[in-house]
Amino acid sequence: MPVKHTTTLLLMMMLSVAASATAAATATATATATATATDSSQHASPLPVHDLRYGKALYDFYQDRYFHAITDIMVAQARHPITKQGSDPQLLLGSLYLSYGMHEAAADIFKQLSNKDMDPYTRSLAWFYMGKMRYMDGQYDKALEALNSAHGPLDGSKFSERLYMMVNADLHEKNYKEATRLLGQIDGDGIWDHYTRYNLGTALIRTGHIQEGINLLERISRLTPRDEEEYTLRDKANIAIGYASLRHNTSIDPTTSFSLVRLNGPFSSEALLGIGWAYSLGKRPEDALKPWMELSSRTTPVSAHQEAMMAVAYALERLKHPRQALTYYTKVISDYDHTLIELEKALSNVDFIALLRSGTYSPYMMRDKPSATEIPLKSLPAAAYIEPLILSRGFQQAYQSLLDLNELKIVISKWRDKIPLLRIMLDERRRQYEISVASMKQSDYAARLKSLNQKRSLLANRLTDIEQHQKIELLATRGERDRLQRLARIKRRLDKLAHRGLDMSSETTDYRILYGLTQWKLYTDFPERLWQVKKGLHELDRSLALARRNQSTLENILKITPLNFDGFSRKISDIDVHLKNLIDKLDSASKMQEHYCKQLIIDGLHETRHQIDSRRNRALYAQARLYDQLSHRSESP
Amino acid sequence: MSTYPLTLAMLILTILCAIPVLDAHASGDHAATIQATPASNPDEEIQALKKEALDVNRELFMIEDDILYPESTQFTVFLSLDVGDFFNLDSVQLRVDNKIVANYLYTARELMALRKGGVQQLYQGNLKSGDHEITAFFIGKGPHNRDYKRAVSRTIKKSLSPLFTELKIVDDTAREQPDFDLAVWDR
Repeated sequence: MPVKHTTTLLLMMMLSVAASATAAATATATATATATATDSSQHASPLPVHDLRYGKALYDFYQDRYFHAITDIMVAQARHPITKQGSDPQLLLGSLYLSYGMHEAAADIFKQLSNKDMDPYTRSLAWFYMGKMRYMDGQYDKALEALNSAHGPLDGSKFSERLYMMVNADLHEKNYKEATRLLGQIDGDGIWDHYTRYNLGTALIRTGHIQEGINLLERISRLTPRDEEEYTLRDKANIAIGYASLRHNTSIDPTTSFSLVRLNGPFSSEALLGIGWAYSLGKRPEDALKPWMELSSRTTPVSAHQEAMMAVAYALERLKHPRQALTYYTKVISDYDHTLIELEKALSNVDFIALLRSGTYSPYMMRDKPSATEIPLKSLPAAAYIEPLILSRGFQQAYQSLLDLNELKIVISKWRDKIPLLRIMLDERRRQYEISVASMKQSDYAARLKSLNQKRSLLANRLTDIEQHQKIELLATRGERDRLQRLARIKRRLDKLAHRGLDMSSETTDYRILYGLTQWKLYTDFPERLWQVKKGLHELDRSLALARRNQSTLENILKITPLNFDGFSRKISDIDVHLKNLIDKLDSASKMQEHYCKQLIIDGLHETRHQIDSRRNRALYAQARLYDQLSHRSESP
Repeated sequence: MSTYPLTLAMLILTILCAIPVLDAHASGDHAATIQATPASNPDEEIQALKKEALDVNRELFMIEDDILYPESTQFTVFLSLDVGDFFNLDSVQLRVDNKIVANYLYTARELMALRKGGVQQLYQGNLKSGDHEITAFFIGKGPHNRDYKRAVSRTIKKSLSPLFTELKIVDDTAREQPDFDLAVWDR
């Protein structure tokens, strides 16, 4: 019986360690998934921008300003739809909605884009995102359906991510055969490929396919990490191999796997605990003490420290040192007592949301995720237990929604503050308009344009007359006209002198030569001059047409503007009421969400308190048992 | 005490059922007790509110644009960066008819967005019909990390339609120098 109780206690302890392993590993994996949710819709190289408004939306998108990016596209589509970018704007809008947590709106867009009329790449991408949304929502059967349809061209990263999601969805649906078949398609060394192998490997171990599972995990355990994420994944794989070897007594020495885990990494506690268990199972409790003692000497993480203390107590008991074991049990009970007091304090005194709000990570319209270093948790009671709750996916999602609501409240409130300014601007425009109308009336543009048109008509008639009757002199230059006039005067004088009986034959011949030359020049230049004048008339026509168009635009503006002023005025009044209602709704939703976020932490802390309470009770039981044992020993003769 | 190994083996068997059942989207340690959605799921309500806020926001943007920048006088300047290996942009000054209308200092985040292909709306204002001189001064670090200041200037014609112009910074790989341009766009 005593042994049974000790093992139950240890079972609880190790389950907790295993759970922490899962938690720590998941945190990394989730970070990857979150990052990819954003990155997946981003292109590695700059996209050719054929419409500046699309480029502007990308600019906001690349800065995670999803709200602004969505607005950019919505405004563009409402004014003049972006037509020069193919289906890119819709794909972008879909991924923006997805990143902004508007899954329903995103689904509507991706549904449209998965239409058979779309090109294969767009269709495939649309199915990929639909699958991803369903996967994120936990609808694994629907996710599989959509991801299976995304069989068209996808770039390398998305292809791997698709397989990763499909394998995981199959695992959730317990389709192990299909998951294994899909794994056959993976031969890369990208992070998604490793996650896929890891998840399938552990799933195979769980379902009794030990060697196949270990083989997959070994590929990860041998990788040369390129970054922290790969280091973490390698640690996790070694932990999983170590525990699988312990459980199934495989040819692999679990201590080798555990010792490959980084001592300064997030999984060192699990590794040290595992090495201890490996020695303990190998009937070497004295060797098990070493890693456990090392772990118990660490103050963080608190749970690992407490679990190590329990393990040390257990080993000492096995080594028949009941008094020392008792000391450890007593110490860990005291630790548990302290933790429980801290948890009580945390539950009764701390406003978690206010605390998060005081952090540095809530910039306006940014979606940066809170990280442990940015949240001022260290001063809190039971900080070690609050941190994983805050970093859990459930809380992060709920808190992101709260941030979104608060940011929307800020945006909408700012608009409401701007309403009086819009009214002033509108009044100013109305005033300017009235001044312009008065000035236009004064200058009487219309009458001037009409007179100009009349002059043009007269000119055109004259030109027709000149052309029809070959009135070449009418196209003479000023110099030629002067010469012709002078020649006419000379002719008149010559005639007068000849009439008086003078011999003017020589002068008359000169005159004729000069006149003939002038006429000859006028005749030869006439076609070109006529063409030039016609060209000038065409240019005048174009200018007049432009003036008429401007006049018409202006008249339209004049006609429409007063109506627009009234329309704007009405719109502003309506929207003011709408804004007020919306702010009230956002306020109430934000309060509800804040309450929900707080409740998540409180529930989590209650659960933690319950777990610690159970562990403490078991430690108390072990302590009592040892006291009992020692008292029997002292009583025995 | 001889029952230890057997019990421990059973213990570890049980433990391992709980060990790494990992999923990139699985919940964490205590997260097992934290559900993403409460009993009355507010997610749909939040999505609807976001939609409503976006619609209002779009409407207000359009009203503001219509009032402040009517199409007949609207003038917008965008800025784009292609590659940017030979020029690290720090700031831009924009002048219209020799009057400073915008000064902009870039953050690392904004430069990253520009390098990825985003286009910044640098300025929006009003211009009367006719000819106008647009000048932009680019300040930053050029090749070999040297201080670099360049200007680009162009006379543009404003009609009664909105006018969109783009300041472009491109890499001239042949000369290993940045190149600056001002382009006029047709909608």
